[in-house]
Amino acid sequence: MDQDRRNALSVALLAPAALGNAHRAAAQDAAKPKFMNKDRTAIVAKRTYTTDDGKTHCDTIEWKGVPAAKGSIVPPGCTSYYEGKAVSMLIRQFIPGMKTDYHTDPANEHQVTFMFEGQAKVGAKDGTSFVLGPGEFASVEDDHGEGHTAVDATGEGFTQLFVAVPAK
Amino acid sequence: MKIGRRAVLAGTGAGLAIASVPKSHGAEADNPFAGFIAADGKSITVIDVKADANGHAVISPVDLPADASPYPLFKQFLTNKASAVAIYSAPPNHHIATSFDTARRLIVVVAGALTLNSAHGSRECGTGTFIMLDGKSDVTAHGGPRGFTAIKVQLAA
Repeated sequence: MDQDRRNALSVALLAPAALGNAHRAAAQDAAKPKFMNKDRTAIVAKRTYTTDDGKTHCDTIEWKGVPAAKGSIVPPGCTSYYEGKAVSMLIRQFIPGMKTDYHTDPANEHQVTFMFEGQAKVGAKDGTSFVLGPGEFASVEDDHGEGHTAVDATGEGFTQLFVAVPAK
Repeated sequence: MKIGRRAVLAGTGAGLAIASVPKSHGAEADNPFAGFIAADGKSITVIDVKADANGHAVISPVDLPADASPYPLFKQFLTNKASAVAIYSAPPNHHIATSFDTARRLIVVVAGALTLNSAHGSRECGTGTFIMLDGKSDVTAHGGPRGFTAIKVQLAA
């Protein structure tokens, strides 16, 4: 068998395996929740926060997974990504076209939020922004300062879980 | 959600302005979180877990109405005081034993699936399921083949 035929045969034999790997990788990726980081060690949450100069910014924060501690509300044997005291909770369905001016959280409260339906574009005066879509977490930490805007990004409304937590 | 009117409002509490448009449902066909609010927007479905007189958990879906909201720009559900919140993952097929916790707690499955078990039977709860555990019972749970991730909110009295 000459070299060209050997090369062609090896390509033909390897291609299905390569496709299989690609398929498996795609399947694994599909199984990976949108909110997990690449190596699945942390939840990535989008974030608004205010610096000491009173300016509000948007970026992301990682909540790293740790074993559930004794006395935790997380069941034994599970990985805890976020745990803390809470003040209140609600699920809020915003109507289509919702748009806010710059606003802050209630003083001394942050919000852990999760988007169920729709998309919200969140922006700060410094030009940073993010879009929060279904299956994504956000940590709203600007309880003072310039604040942020939230705009319905699809025109179809959006529905979010809000859990108010004490500001750290 | 269907808003059957066009509206433009401005200048309410937080400087809110809206311009509503009809909503299409096609884009959310693959969203496991879509549709937990009833089509008429008046209630949400929650899997309620409550002990019967013998302490065995009755696991059944219930529709909870929207809360009274002072604002015209949104509807609210499950408005509650809360004492703690956690976001956690359970490994595949992980068994969660009976809890002696008597507090009401809401669990939202945000990835994967789990199955609730009691003397009365079992119920699989996939991504997008809301579970309200109301007091102590014999309910146990086990994670699905890919495990699950959930938000747990412990509600205050």
